Amino acid sequence: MIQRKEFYATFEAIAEMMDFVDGMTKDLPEKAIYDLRLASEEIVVNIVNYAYPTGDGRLAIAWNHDPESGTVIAEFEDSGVPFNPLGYPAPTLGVPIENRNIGGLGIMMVRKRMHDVRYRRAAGTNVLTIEYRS
Amino acid sequence: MEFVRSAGEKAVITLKGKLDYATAGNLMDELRTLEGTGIKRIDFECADLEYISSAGIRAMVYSKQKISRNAPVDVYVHQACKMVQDVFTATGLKDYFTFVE
Repeated sequence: MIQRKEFYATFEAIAEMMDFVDGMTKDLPEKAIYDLRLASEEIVVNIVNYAYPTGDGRLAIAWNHDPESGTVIAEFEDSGVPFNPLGYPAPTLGVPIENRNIGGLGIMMVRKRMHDVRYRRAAGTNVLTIEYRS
Repeated sequence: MEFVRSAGEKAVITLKGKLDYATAGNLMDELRTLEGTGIKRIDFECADLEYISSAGIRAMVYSKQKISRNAPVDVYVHQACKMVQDVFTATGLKDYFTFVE
């Protein structure tokens, strides 16, 4: 069953988004709860910070958990500026921290922890899909 | 989230609950007060830290980058649970702090 919820893409609404995510993951193993919270936080914070530079916008989360296979597929949608976070260059981990740009850390963690991450731009909407198998 | 700080050359900061997008700013503010104080060592007590995200890591990295600009500061992370340590490992920052069990 897919559960979909829409939020205002504001900093104040992030707590509500994370409550929604926690509600969706509450019956999963501890590690899955952590990984999905981490990925979701990185994604929604990114959307709130960058998707709507000129005004208010919305963010929707569609959550699909198949208990049979243990697979979670979650989609994060916004109608802000076209942005593919997967096109962001990964931070260089070998470089001394003083010389390192620590932007891009969040999306790197999403990619490391999820089994698949996909981006598409469709009908004026950015859709970032994460897939996780616990 | 709770911060306990002792004065002098050493600061002890206790992190509880979640260090994330919502609480990292508070830690950042706290760490800013240590700039230019001649601090030499920061101990993060993490036994009750359940969760850290990249926002939390960024705040902790700040303690190295900014506070140690003039004089080096050693940063110790105490009793972090495995899931929290894994986040440091994933970011390639684990060796940057000294982890103490």
